[in-house]
Amino acid sequence: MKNKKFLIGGIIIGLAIVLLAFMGFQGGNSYYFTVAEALEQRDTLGDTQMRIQGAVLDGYESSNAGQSLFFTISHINADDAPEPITATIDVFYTGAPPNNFEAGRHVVVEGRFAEDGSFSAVSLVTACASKYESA
Amino acid sequence: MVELGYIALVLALLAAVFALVGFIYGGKEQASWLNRTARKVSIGVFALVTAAVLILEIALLTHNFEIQYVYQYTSTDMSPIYLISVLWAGNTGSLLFWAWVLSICSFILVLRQRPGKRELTPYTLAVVTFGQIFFLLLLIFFANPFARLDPAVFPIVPSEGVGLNPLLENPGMLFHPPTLLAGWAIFTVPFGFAISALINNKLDNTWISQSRRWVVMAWLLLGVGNILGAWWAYAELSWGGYWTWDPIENAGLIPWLLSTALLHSMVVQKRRGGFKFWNIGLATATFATIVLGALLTRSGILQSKHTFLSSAMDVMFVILLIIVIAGSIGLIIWRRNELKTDMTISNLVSREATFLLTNVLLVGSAIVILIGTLSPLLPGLPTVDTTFFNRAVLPIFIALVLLIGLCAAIGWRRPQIRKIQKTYIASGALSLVLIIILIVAGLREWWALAPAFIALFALFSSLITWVGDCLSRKRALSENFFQAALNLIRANRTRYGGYLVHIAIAIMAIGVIGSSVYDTETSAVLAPGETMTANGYEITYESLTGGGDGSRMEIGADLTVSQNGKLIGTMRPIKLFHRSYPGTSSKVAIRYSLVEDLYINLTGWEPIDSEDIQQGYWAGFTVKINPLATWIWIGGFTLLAGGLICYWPKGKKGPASSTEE
Repeated sequence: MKNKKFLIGGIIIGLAIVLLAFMGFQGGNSYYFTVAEALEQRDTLGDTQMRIQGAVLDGYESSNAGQSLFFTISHINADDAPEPITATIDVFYTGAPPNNFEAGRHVVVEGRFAEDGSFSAVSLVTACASKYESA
Repeated sequence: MVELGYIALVLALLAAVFALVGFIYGGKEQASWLNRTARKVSIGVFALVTAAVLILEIALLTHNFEIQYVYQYTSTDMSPIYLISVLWAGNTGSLLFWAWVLSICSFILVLRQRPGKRELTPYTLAVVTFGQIFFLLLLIFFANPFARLDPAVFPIVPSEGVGLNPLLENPGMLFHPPTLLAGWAIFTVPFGFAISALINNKLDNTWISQSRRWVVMAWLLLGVGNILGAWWAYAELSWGGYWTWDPIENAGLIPWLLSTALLHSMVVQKRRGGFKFWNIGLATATFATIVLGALLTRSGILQSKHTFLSSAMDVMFVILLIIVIAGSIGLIIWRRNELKTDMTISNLVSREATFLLTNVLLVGSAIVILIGTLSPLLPGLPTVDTTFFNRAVLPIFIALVLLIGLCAAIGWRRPQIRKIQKTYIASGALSLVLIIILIVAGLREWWALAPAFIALFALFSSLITWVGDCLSRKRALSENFFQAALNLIRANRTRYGGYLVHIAIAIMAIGVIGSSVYDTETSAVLAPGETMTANGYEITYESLTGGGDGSRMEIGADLTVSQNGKLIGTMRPIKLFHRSYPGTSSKVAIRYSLVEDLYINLTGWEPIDSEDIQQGYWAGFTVKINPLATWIWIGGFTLLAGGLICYWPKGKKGPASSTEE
């Protein structure tokens, strides 16, 4: 009898956690795209807010005393092979990049597509720097 | 000289294999020739791995650039302290560090073994030695830290190395990687005790009491390591945050959450004989997530699935993970009948019940974080980002903080309802008053105020219970208050160290709420002499000035800062140009205070007139104000203090130390 009480309690907590995870997936994944996916969806989604994950290409520039940043992100190839890069998005970011921002780093940008097809980002998050390079 | 390092590793491997055989076949017979010899050989492994570490350190300190690792991670202009820290800055060095910590663990286990006692130790040592063999194999065959530079590329030894990534030259980096790595490595010992208890079919409290301090140490190092990593990100990465739910961070957090659960259920087994299954399950699961974390952070598997298993190291870690998981599950099924306990939880309002709930929530949060971290690999799941973790995990964490507040006054078995009521009413009232003050002050964000109430409640509830216990002791034994407080801690380190950790968590929660909900950011481009304002601060840009040394040049902006018209000081955010690294990095200026941090980043500059640079430069600034952020680090120190109290051994004549827990 006593154990049944705990079993029911445990099931309720378990279900609550599953529900939280489910809600997290609902909120966490809406409009979170790879570069290729974002390019496919660009016309249908218009100027909806979204997050895009990609790799920073060489040749980024900052302007306005470091307050604006222009760079291009490419689709992260499944095997990181040096294939010709076809899927890229130009990103304008208002703000200074984090210190570990550099060419090749994987970043997530959040913002909207502008009319000219470039992406106007309000947030820029880089992958962790303390990762070990593989031997 | 360098060859000696490699030879030491090879000899250590041979010795470790011998020791493993000795520990397994020597079995429980500690006096047997095999076991005695294995113990001696195990000390030899420690000596050999220590020698390898010393040889690598000497190579680092003497700039021996013929070694690839030294060339890749150091340069002649680095200070000795950072040269030493390069041992754990790269992949191969950190594997050597891991192997070294394991050899220290087995050395301590061997020293502490007593004839006729500690029958669990031989198999525990076998598990730790197995771990040593694993890492030595990696070092010898796949990641030799003593490997020389390829003579085909470097016909002569270079006179200068590439140098350490400048972002890693930060005090946080001196301590963050080794604490985390040591925490991961040391947890092998409790895992070993769990396996030994299963094999020996000795699932009573023996393995719990013998491994408790190892768990506390590993747990403490993991916790402090995570907090140091967060502080490093805050001080060094210039974006003003400290946690991004990165897989690397999660790899440190998941085992910490599981070992926190383990610490709780160990107390229940010790006191009431229950939770045997929980303890074995948590000890093995924590270790499995450590191996998984090592795999995730070293293989790059989450970035690209397709290169996964292309390196031999990945294959090795996967094999280890399979052995750990399959072996643990097999042993648990084999001993399933012995893991049953007859403890019944008679009352929902009892410490047993709150511990059970704590563990369910801790394990639940760990599973959710694990699923989120692995989401790129799991079929049918979308890849998640920080939103997922914030939505799915933070509510569980808030529930855990609430439990901290609720559990403090609850004792074992039957509740003392009056004591509980008094504590709840007092701490609830205090928290409510503070929240009302905040509302009167103009804060309206219920999603911050509600968790802030819960965190304050947890803080006050723990404090009130503690003070109440001190007062009872003061009355009963006619000691003064401070004597009573000290003696109380002395008499029951686990309990009061635990309270201190609970207080630390509540303090950190307050810091996280303040800095993540109420942070503000202002950007401006200023000419010399111009002032920008941000939340009551007036920041005046005076001029750009240079500085630096042979290895780097710096450009800093001299700022005068006033608050509400009163001068409070000068600050100087910097941009650094490194000799051996391309690009620049920012060194933010931070003014820490208990109320809020002022966090200024120099984003760049442009000449006011490019024809005439005498006119000076525009400079760009991003100013962040992070309320209560300092409390996160204060909470970190409190956690360290609480953990150390839990870890500290009982005194020989500790008064009444075994009666209360």
